[in-house]
Amino acid sequence: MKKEGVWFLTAQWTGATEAAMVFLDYMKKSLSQTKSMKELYANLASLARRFYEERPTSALLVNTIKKLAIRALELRDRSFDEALHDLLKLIDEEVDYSRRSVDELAQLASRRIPDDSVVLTHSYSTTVIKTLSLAHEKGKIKQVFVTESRPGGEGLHTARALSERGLKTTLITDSAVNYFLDKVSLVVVGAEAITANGALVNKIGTSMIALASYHRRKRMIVLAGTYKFSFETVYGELIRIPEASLDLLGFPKDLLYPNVLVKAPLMDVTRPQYIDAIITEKGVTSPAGVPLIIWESLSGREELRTMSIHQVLSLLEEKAR
Amino acid sequence: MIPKEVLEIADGIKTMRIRGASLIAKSAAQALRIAAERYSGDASGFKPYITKVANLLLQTRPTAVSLPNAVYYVLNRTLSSSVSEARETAIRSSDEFIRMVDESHRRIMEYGSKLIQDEYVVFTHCHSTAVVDIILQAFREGKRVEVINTETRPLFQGRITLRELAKNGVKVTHVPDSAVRHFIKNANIVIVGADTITSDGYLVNKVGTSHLALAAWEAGIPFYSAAEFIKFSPASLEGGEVVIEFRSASEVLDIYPGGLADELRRLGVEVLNPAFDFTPPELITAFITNLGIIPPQLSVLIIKEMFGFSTGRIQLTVLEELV
Repeated sequence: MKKEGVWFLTAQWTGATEAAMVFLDYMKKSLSQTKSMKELYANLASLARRFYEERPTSALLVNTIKKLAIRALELRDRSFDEALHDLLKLIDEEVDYSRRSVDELAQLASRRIPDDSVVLTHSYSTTVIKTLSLAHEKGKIKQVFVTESRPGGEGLHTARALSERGLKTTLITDSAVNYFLDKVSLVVVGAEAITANGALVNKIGTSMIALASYHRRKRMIVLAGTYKFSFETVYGELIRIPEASLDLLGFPKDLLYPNVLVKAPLMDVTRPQYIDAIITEKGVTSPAGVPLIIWESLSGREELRTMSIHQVLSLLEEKAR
Repeated sequence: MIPKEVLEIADGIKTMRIRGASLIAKSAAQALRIAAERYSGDASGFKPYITKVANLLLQTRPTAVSLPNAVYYVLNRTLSSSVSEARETAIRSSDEFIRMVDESHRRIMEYGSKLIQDEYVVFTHCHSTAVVDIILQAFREGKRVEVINTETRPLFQGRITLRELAKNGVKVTHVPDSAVRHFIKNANIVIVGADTITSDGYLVNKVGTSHLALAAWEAGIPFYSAAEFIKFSPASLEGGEVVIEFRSASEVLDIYPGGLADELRRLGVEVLNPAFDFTPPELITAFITNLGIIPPQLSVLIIKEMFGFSTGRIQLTVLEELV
């Protein structure tokens, strides 16, 4: 799987939005090569399953898979050419919609950043980078602290991106957050998923930063388009958290005593109480407002709500058989 | 004429060949002892001579708290004794100090291990000899203790802790620093070491310690720091500030292969790498000290008992001249 490039989902330098774009790109290529309905279902099913296994936490990925799969299932009585054309169009629409949403969100969020801000951010998020760049163009940012974000170290990629865009950037280790919080005026992070109760699933370390900033009375805002909302969790589905490999940690093999366990979950869960605002492309909400937004954005799309990713994947796999 | 061995010890402390608070303190006391023993001048010259040696030692690493504590323990007693007894006092008090450091380590091991109950999971950060010994003591007593420990970036001292515990049979779960809050709920108790403790009960320890304290506080898990008396700072009693050492960017960047680290350097991305952070007393359950388990607010008691209140002013005055 590594050879084909999917690896970089867990190598983590992709943000959730980017990962979904990669998925759509792969899907387009893969579907274009099919020659029958059965093949179309097979390719759709296998690629969807592989991406989902790689990054089960990403609500955007899950939502995108569900949208594609449900449309494909709806098209079962149509001719192959028609179905393929329709699905490829949907993929283009999704890519376009995501890009536009990120732009709108960043515009909106950059308005919410006060003058003279010293921002702390964690991990890698295209939305955060875009937002901070816009705010920087408006002269609002004094400095950005970026965490290394172990395991994976994608904070280095964030630091590079921000620095290239002219922001004064400071890289710190994950452990040094509390030490520097004195100097920080605002914490801004992206999102892997937002759950039904307004909790944030994001790169491991986010919840520690949230706790520390709450304790120090520093505001924390989360940038998450409605496409990052995990509709499934409304119906009690749990989000499974994948773990980093020993290679990613650079863990020395000679320390692998039989009584040693190395645990490196890639995501953690931040309580809604620690989040000041969630900024979506549709506007600013509190974590408590999340169910409302979920309901609103699903109106007329009952099947997206009621079917879980597992149901969708097995229906697809059935069709492929 | 300062003996060669004394100069060698001073150099060892300066170049960090001699490291760890206990070892620094004991080596400094040992250096004073050697200096006193080898002194061959007349009695009236001894006090100026030993003061000169003391200053030489203090200059090696002025921010390591155990160093001035060792030097002043010996120096105060020497300077307040009579001219004829000064040399004898220097030798005696050096020995006494070294004995006390060893004794205090044993006591901390004994008191600390009592805090660990059967089937407890201990969470720790960085590497502390005192903490490792406490855990091993509990383990030897037959308690089924398990440990969760952090990697401790940037220098991965957590791997030293991991090895020392694992090779002795203790079950260890090793996690990245960013996962502290995620895993704290699996622990029963947090025990960390200490670099410096101030008179108002702040713990200065490896950066990230305050995260662990905060996460433990949020989860309702007790947070202890194991600290020999030499970690307590008499200078802080007089308002002396604890200076946090900032270390090099390459400690953070060097593990990243390829051009990424170079690119960050080229772009001028600042890398700040503080070695320690502050944990406030309200997040600390207690310190495990040689005088017993004491609440952080009572740090001043250790300073009074072990060094006397007046040491603070003397230390601070000299330190301010040196730093």
